[in-house]
Amino acid sequence: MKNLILISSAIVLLLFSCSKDKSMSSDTGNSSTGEGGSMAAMTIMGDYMYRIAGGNAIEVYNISADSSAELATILNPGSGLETLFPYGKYLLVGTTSGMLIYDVTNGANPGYVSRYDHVVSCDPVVAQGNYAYVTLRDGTRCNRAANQLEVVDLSDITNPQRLTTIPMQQPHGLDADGDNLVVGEGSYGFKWFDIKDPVNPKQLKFENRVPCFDVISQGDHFIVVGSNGLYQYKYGTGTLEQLSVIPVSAN
Amino acid sequence: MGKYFTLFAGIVLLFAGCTRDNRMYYSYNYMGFKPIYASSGTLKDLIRTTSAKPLSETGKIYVKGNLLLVNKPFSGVHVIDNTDPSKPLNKAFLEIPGNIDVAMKGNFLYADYAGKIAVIDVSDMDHPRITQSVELDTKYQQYPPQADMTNRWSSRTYFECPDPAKGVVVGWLYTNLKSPKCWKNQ
Repeated sequence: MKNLILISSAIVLLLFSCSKDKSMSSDTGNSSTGEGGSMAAMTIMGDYMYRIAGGNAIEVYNISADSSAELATILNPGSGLETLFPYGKYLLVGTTSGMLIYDVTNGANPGYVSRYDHVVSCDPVVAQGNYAYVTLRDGTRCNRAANQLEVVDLSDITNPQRLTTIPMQQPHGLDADGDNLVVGEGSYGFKWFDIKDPVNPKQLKFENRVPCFDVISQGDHFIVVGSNGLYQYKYGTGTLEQLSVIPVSAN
Repeated sequence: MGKYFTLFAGIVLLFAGCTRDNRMYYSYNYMGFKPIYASSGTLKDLIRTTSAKPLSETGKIYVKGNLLLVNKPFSGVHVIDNTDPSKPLNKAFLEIPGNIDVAMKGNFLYADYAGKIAVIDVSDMDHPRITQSVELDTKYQQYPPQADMTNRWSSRTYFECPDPAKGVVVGWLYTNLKSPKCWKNQ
């Protein structure tokens, strides 16, 4: 009996250590940072803040003093820079031609690691575990592109490889969180995927009444923003429970 | 003579039709950047908290603890108390003219502002305190930092010429421009 309790508590502990709960990390401690959506062009990693300026420069600010932001470095990796996503010690840069990866172990001087190329498009990127999720979409500023979601293997960070492609309608922001992946489809709504198998996202729901520009997932619930307003949902088993809405009012 | 003229006009129209591309509607409309002005005052005085505004145009979102910030493009952020996600409370609007992106560390909020970064102590959200003011960037007042990458036919980036009489430029909006007089090479 004692053994059984030991084993079961070990399993429970194991499960807890495996489950990724992002809401745990966003406490209100004094030096803690928040979380942006995947469309963010500004992100904080430790004592440094990274910002895309003018689409062709990444500005690095030293914010160790908190109350000030001192410009430390400017990187010029080319044009078409759009979004920034913190991934462990790496900074993922979504660009109109793919994704750039920088090592920010030395926060003030990010080191170029690799790039992932695809057709010209607009594309935020998020990553979890060994996988990045990239959306591509066409549109006025990013013509010629396909509309799709790609799963990219980052296990060899120096050589990102596309594993899966899923056709989409007009993908915008997205977030991967534990077993859940939510992808905004712009004016078409949003899609919720099961990513227990991270390489093969399985679509669970397509909500076509709630336009979605960006998403932030927070463990057991997620936040969607779009032209109809701000919606929050709780993940269920195959279903979503709408928690609240702050509608956009005409003005 | 009249017949030839009609034919000639027809040919001209045909050519005009052929040279039109998706960015040159009626010959003189370009996509490009339009300055967004802050009406008056110094940059430091323009950042302030006002009463809550209903959501209108929504932009990027940012979460820190129970705080949820929803950007209103080129205006600032809605400050939402999201302690209970089933009852989010729209508490206030933090005016940051021209703002698109924010990030937070501790009680400090970093915001893109007039081409630079403003640092704001928001430990008391009703009384935001600017701890790093923004100096006017003269280049940002004259032309957009961005390049228009969609223009396949030329290396020009068009923009509406800024008019200092209208105020300080705090943002550059990518939009359809009518007969822009200003452009830069990218």
